[in-house]
Amino acid sequence: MEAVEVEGVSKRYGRGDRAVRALAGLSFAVPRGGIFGLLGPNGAGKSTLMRIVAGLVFADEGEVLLFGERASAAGRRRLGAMIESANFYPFLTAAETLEVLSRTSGCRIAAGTLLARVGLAAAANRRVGTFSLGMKQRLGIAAALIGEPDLLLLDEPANGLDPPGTLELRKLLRALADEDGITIIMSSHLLDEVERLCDRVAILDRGTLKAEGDLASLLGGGEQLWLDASPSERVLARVGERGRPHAGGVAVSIARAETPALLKALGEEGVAIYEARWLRPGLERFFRGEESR
Amino acid sequence: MSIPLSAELLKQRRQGAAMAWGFLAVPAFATLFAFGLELVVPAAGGAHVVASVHPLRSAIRAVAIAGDPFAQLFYAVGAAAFFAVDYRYGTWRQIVPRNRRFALLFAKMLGFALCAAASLVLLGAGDLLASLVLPLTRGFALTDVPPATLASLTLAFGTSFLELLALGGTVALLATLTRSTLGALLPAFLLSFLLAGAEALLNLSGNALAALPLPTLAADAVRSWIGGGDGAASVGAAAIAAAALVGWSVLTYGAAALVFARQDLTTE
Repeated sequence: MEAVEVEGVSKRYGRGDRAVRALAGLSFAVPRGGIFGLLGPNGAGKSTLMRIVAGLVFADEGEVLLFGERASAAGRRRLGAMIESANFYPFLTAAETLEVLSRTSGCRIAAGTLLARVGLAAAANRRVGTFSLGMKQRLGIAAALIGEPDLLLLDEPANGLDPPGTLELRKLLRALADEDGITIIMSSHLLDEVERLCDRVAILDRGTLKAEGDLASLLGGGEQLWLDASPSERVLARVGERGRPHAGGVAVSIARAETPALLKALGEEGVAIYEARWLRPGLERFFRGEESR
Repeated sequence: MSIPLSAELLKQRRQGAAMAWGFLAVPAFATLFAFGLELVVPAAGGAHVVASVHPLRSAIRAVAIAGDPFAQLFYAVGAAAFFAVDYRYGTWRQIVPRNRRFALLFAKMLGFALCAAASLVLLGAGDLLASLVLPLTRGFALTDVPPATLASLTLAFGTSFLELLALGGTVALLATLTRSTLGALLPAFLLSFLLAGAEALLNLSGNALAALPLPTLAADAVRSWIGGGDGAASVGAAAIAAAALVGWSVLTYGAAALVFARQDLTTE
């Protein structure tokens, strides 16, 4: 059973000529366990999709299944969510905020433990109105963890976090996924963040699914071997059309299995190799349109 | 279906200023005014002053203050604290995913009803204190002209409570439609003034019954029946007026619940 199934979900905002299509028949599934990344440029439909899964926005067509059941308030009790910016009541302290949210959800929580988990124990009795954006993000994650959810929806969770905070967040999310077995769906505009954290990725563009799959397969297939070699002309002559000058060296489209033979042949031809490394195309290519080439 | 009332009340307890202006200001001002009158008037009048109003009748008048347009502005502030707070701070996104929307709105309605009732109790109790304690401690006589009963006070309390519930329903609907505190407060305030003006005009034209469906006028019709005397509303008119008050609440809260149930919470 999948954690989330999105089946033919469409959503438009507005009416008539001014209507904006946010999602257009989107379908994909998020397997249980691990961290699932939602990527896409602004306006791709990531936040709309998260809001639909969280029950904040209603789909015009299609439906969302959570753990095999049609998403409802009861089904979403297994869900923790931090959608867009983490908004809170500024007149409550962090501990009171968690208390109010847990009472609303009918759960009992140890606010101190949750706050300690996100590094906010020292600020438990501070009013949220005095919090920085990064602290609110942490509190948002703590709030999402109320009720020990099976599924976490996190919209741009690293927003506003400083570098140490980002590192801690990575550790926390990895621990939640690996040790607590929570399925995490996170959206991010930070490709590097997604590449580091996510096991699977869905890439959205203008409300449609552009690519979806495990990160290794999405990243694979486009790798190139980059060589800082002299003379580079000999390298280019050897590899023919598979090579191109790149960043002061030569980038070669070659399978990993063929690499030892190529390096050996170049050495025998008297080519001096100073550096060799793999260029991973990364997920940027999906936004540059390279995946269709 | 669980109603998260305790969470709503805990949240509102921390909104001290809004709660104070919304539910304490009217009883505080009214009680201070009553004490002021009790202190100043006998002193100005000289030696022995006989209370001219029965304390219960005075309390009945006091709880009717809730229907005053200015008092309604304060109560509208209290209602907006409940119904507009999650739009104001964009916090629906925190509580909607795991709860039934109806339960969340119902908790707000219950919370507002509790606070409105408490405010009315304070209003009546403050006035009773003022009209009992000072005259008694000074040895003034209490007359019984005209008389009033606890039942009348209870009915008056119920009428003002229904009137405040209707105001709360109006604010709830406006807050849901406009997603804004100001959008809920301004029309509610203007509406109460318009209704007060309409009441005056309709009374002048001798056509008061036509206005019964309006909450302020309906409440006044019930109060007129409770007060009795010449020109008081009939039992039938009072019953229709009470039904109108209940109907107004049912319609406004129902409409708010319907709108909220299908509302896209994009940017709250």
